[in-house]
Amino acid sequence: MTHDAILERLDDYVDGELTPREERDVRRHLMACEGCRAEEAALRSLLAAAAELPEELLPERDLWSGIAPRLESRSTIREREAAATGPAATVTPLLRSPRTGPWLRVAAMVVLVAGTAVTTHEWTKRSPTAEVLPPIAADPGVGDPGSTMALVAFEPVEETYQSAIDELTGVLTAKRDELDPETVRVLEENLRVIDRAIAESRAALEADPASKHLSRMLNDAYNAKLGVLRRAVQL
Amino acid sequence: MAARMLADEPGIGIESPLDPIVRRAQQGDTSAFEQLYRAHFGRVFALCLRIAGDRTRAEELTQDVFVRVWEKLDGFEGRSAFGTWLHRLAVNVALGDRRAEGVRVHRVFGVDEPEQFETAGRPPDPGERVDLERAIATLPAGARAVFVLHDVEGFKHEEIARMQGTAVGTSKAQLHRARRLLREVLER
Repeated sequence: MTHDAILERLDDYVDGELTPREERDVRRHLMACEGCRAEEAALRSLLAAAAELPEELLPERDLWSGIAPRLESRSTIREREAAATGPAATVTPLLRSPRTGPWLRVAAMVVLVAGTAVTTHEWTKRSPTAEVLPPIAADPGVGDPGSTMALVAFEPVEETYQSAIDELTGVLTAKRDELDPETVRVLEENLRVIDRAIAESRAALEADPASKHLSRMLNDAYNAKLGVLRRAVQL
Repeated sequence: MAARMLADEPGIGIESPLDPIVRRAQQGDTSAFEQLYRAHFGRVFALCLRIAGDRTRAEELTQDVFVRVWEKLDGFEGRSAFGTWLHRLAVNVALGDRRAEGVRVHRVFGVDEPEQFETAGRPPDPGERVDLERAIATLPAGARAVFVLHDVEGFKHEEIARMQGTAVGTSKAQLHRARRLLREVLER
């Protein structure tokens, strides 16, 4: 190996990622080359310093006070996860709700939204970076357990979602011609389904503006739309 | 080499995956969960700070991590130590934040490689001596994340590539860049 080739392999050498033969070649070169030995020593010194960094660092303020109010009850979390995993799990607990009518409609839309996630799975496989991204906005109502007006609490969150959706839609419109027509068709169909879910959820929330469950469903529907758009712009 | 070999270590703080505190938290006991938070927040904050390169963002990320841990707690089955499971989740949250930042960059600049536009922390003034912690914060975000995951946390390139949705070669190139930049800053 040449001097430059050795320098390029030094990272792999100190990380122990070379084959025995490559390692032997590098070691032999290092014995003869003072400059490369200095490089190796500097690299090892950096790694030793990294290994000595403290495992723990402390924030300047107490963070728990910002965490505790965001912790939902375990039953709420389980309910939401059940709703996200399948139709049977979604509908069964909702049938016990006194507000069966609107709940069932919204639940059905949530199932449709979950369906779009399955459809979009094919896209995500094509784009390794398009893993599930975190929601852009906070879960409404969660940080404000005393609120009785979930609809009012959700409105600023809705504005944030809408702004992000508008931006992503703009990006997507600009690159529409680059996308496969079939992908565009599936994307538009999925967005239509999610838009219906948003409209239904919002109508249900307007009819029952104190319902945090409905505001969460609306949040989930917006989040689903945002997720589809984010994945689409990464195609 | 890598400091902590997190993937292989038995756990942090509370070692037993069947610890009764974890079980109580799984049953909805927030005071038990607070104990878990107190046992682990320093390490989570260190990770978030080093990956985010910004103290305020790191505080927000740390809070997001523990809210996410609470939400995912039912999924912890004790196959690994709780600390290991939690830390993996923290890495995912911190990297998710980086990906979201990538989407924002894409939105603004319309490029597929957000690394082109990623920002580094404030560079040190000429002649200023900095410690490694400060030097890490000056790295570009992609290089910083790979350096922290590989050289501080002990993840392998294959794991980093998988978590970041990139190629192993990209991870190696970022690490090479990070080490070179760090040496430049530290050797001034």
